[in-house]
Amino acid sequence: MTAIVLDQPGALTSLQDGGRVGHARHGVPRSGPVDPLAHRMAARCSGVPVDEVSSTVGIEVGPQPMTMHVEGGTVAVALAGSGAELAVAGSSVSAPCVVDLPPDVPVTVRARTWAYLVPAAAVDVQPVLGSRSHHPRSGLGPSLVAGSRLGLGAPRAVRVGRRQAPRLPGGPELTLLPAPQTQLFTAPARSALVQSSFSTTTAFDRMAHRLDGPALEADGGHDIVSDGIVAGALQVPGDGRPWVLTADHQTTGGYPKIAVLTTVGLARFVRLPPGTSLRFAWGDPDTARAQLRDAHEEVERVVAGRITPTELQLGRANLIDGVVDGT
Amino acid sequence: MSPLEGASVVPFGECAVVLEYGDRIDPAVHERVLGADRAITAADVAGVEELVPSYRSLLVRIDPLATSPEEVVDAIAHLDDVPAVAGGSLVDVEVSFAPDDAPDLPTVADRTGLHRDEVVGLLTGTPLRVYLHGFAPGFAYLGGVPGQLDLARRATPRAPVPPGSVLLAAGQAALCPTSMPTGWWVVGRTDHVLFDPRQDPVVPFGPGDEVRLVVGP
Repeated sequence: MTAIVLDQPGALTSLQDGGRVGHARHGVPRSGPVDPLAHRMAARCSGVPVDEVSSTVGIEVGPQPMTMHVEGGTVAVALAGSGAELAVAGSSVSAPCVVDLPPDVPVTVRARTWAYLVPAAAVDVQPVLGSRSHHPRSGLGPSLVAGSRLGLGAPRAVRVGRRQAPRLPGGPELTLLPAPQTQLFTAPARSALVQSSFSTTTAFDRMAHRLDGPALEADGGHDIVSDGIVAGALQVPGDGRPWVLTADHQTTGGYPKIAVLTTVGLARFVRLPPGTSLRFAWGDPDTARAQLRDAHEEVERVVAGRITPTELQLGRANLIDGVVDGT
Repeated sequence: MSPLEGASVVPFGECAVVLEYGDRIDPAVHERVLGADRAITAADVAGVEELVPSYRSLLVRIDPLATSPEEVVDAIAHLDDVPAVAGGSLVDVEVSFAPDDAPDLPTVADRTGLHRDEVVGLLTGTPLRVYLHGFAPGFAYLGGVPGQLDLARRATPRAPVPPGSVLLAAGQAALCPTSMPTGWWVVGRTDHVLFDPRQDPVVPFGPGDEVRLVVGP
């Protein structure tokens, strides 16, 4: 039986499937991928049918590189994520790609922000409350530590090679929709939200990403009677600096939400490295839904589209043939 | 009564819509939230992924590829609130108020001008209403704490408290299933299982139920 062995997972690396749906009412965060569209891309490239994407578990790699190797034979893996790459045997392959990893050879995976490695085989980990996602604060779901071994089932047929990166629809501004407390904020705060520039910071984890920018003030203070939250919400505590809530956000909270990013807007946001300047613009829910459908269709187009050899395949060919193929 | 009657329908992106019934913590407001929660759960409205009831509002989480907030609100408009079954369940929770388990009891007594035993008497004297689980898995917010115990939170959060801590602040009590830092006052500790992912249901009581704190071993 083949397996993936984590040598150094990296601080924020974890196992994630589509998330733990249905237990928010019990205080259980949904978890799942910080970048669901990149997780989808990796799952589809790994040969998972489209209706099984949300139950597909992958390794989410955060800002620290992950080192690993495979055991028991060659294992094909898919890697997706904006700016991600995989280094093996002196070659570096950029995502999105599917590569054959030879056994017992060190592999390093680097994400620019968040990346997803999905083997082309079922991963043998048990679900908790219907999900294989790990939630570090509660300990729900299987955790990864140095030396963790993930047993793999029968391999799925995949086509090895590089894919084109799926494009996200929409313009350069990140699209916002109204949230329950939008009207609690002062008129200057609401106008600063879409007229000023903000930037991403190094203060982030799977729960939330803090923004730098103008302070956003709510009329009557920043304590509300706690209510429900969704990912993408811009929550503003008393210092006026907004946090964008992501996959592991708490199910309820007592700070006002000035707006919420659309699903596609949130995917754009989580791909921005720390220190990136950004702007917001208001949108509408119908366009948001259309863009999400487009984003899924773009993944399907790219998965079915042109495949080019990876640097690893070219390097191998050279090794075997002893000639440099310049084409 | 339709769940939309007297409710503010508040959009929350393309993935959710919120039904708000007020802006304060009040059993009557909370009953509306739960009536809508039960109605939408029973109707199994297409495209609704899950519901998150809280003090004064119900978050309706939807699959944006399957439906739109407008379609879901239209479907909810045709439903009827489902009332609570007469007198929700009353669950006894044994609590240790021993000094090691209730490190803030002296401070709470001091600030409220009450004797320690009077504080314990007030905490155990009346059943507390379960408003919601939130913040962390199985973390239960309880209301109905006597007004004499209305204290602001600590100025600075304390180091992680042990699982089972009974917390008090801002006129509310809470039962905390896991170790975590908190700005609430720690006034007791229970061995009652507050969250168990291997059980169904995973929590021992739900919103609308009552919890009676009982002086335990």
